[in-house]
Amino acid sequence: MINELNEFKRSASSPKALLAYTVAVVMIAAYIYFYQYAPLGAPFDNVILNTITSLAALGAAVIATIVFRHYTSDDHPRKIWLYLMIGCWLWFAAEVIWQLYVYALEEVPAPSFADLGWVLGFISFTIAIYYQYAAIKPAHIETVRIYAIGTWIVILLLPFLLLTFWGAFTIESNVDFYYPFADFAVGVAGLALIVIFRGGALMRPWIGLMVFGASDLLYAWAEKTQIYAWSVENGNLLSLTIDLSYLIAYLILAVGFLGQLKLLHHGLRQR
Amino acid sequence: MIVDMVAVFSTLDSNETIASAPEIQASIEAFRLRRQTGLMRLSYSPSDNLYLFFNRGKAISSMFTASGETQSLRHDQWQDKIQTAGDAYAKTIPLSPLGLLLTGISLQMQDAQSEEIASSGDVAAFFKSKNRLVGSSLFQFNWHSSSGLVFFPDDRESPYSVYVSKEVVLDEIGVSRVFHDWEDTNCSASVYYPDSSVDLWQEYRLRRLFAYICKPMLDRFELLTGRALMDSLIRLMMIFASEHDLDISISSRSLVNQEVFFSSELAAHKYQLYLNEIFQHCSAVIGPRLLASVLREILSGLPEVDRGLLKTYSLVPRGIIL
Repeated sequence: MINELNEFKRSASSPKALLAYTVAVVMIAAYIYFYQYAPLGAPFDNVILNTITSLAALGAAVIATIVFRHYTSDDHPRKIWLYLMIGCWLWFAAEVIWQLYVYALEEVPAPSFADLGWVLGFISFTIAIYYQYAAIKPAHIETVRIYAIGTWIVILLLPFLLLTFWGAFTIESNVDFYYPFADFAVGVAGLALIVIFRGGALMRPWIGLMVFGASDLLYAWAEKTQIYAWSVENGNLLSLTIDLSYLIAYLILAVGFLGQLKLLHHGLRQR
Repeated sequence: MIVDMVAVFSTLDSNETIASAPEIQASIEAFRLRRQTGLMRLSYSPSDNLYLFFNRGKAISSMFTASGETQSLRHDQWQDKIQTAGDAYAKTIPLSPLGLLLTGISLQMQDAQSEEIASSGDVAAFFKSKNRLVGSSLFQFNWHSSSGLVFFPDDRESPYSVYVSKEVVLDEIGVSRVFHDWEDTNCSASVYYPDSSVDLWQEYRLRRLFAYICKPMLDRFELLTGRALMDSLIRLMMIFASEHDLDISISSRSLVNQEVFFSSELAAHKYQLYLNEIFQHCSAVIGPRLLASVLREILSGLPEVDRGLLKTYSLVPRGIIL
């Protein structure tokens, strides 16, 4: 833990990192301000809030792309970053599509094209995670593949089977049910990678993914239990916390990717 | 037929010149200035030979053989010997670090008996009959005016051979053709097997263990981080080696160890330093937990004897070897 804190202190002292952290803090502050005080009135506050989230997603996608371009074609991590990059761009596209739906229709249909982006994004992140585990356990690559495919089968089948069993199956409910499982799987995989790389620089890119899993899971739970809608109606801090955690997850993802970019730029440090 | 063993490279050729003590000192100085690695053999009589071992120009060890007995001499002792023993037949033999180490091993092994080999056609059969299924073996050949060593490592690495005659010095990977293609009628050969009581065998085993740990560690580091960070690690290790006067480098995914110490303690200390530096850098990127896991994976296939060596010399951090 001390190592991580020292590393954070070191990285925070670099001007570029300082700028990145400042931008992130400004985005969070602006989000809280527009969320709580809605100074522009509907629908502009929502546009601003969604734009902030989309910008955070764009930041992560752009940095992932730059990191990806740093690797040569025979580098194994290039495969990881290819799929992280694709996943980020898909999620950015999903955010923009969702934002356009909200602006144009107010009520977003389910499933929508935005869901397509998120679902495909999850698949892409799964492939990235698979390649990461393949590098960690190259001797057990078959087992890693079986786990990855098995997890996806469970994620896709479980909502379908449960809803069918309860007699509540619709495409909409199936998509709604899919997210908590996918979030949980990605969150657990991200957490496991953090534990594996703990104390090492390679841990950074996965922190955001783990936070995403947790944040999205929280949202899915609040949404399913109607707590989210109740909180929005009553101006409760819970909905702000949930929505803000989603933005923060994107920012952590972007900052983690930035850490990887910095590592590739500067190389290892002489002791 | 069993005959008394003659130390390798002790064979004199008729053209060798006699050098006085100042001329010998001048040769030693020339070794130093050229930063040459190799061996200087000073023959005071057919059975009394002083061997000086140089690594990059620095005399790292010396051995004196007299009537089949070998003893190590300290720096002041061999200096004194050169000054007082008078003229000697001097031969300087440039060798690779591994060639030098193998030569040292052959001199430290005292109890070998040799066999006569009638013709070059019998060498392959001799190798076959003496090579063990498991474990290294070092073959020594002495002809009338030339000597040679053939080393078979116990892993899948290629053999290594050294051959010295009055015209040529061969020091190469593989079994040199000369061992299968000679016409001299007098060939005596003997074979040595690893012996933990012989310090240079221990150094050889440490050298091998060092490579055994480094290579897969570096491979895995590159797999996890990519070429850019691997290049960065290579650069840092080059600086580290230079600061510690070590001729060890990493190039295109392989370890090039041009170091020889003639002391297992010193070798272990230097290898430990080098490995520790690699581990620290790897740990900063992949984390200490994964580093330990990778190391355990690498060491899990080690034979018990090598695990013992790792523990004895603490080559890897405590807690890694289960």
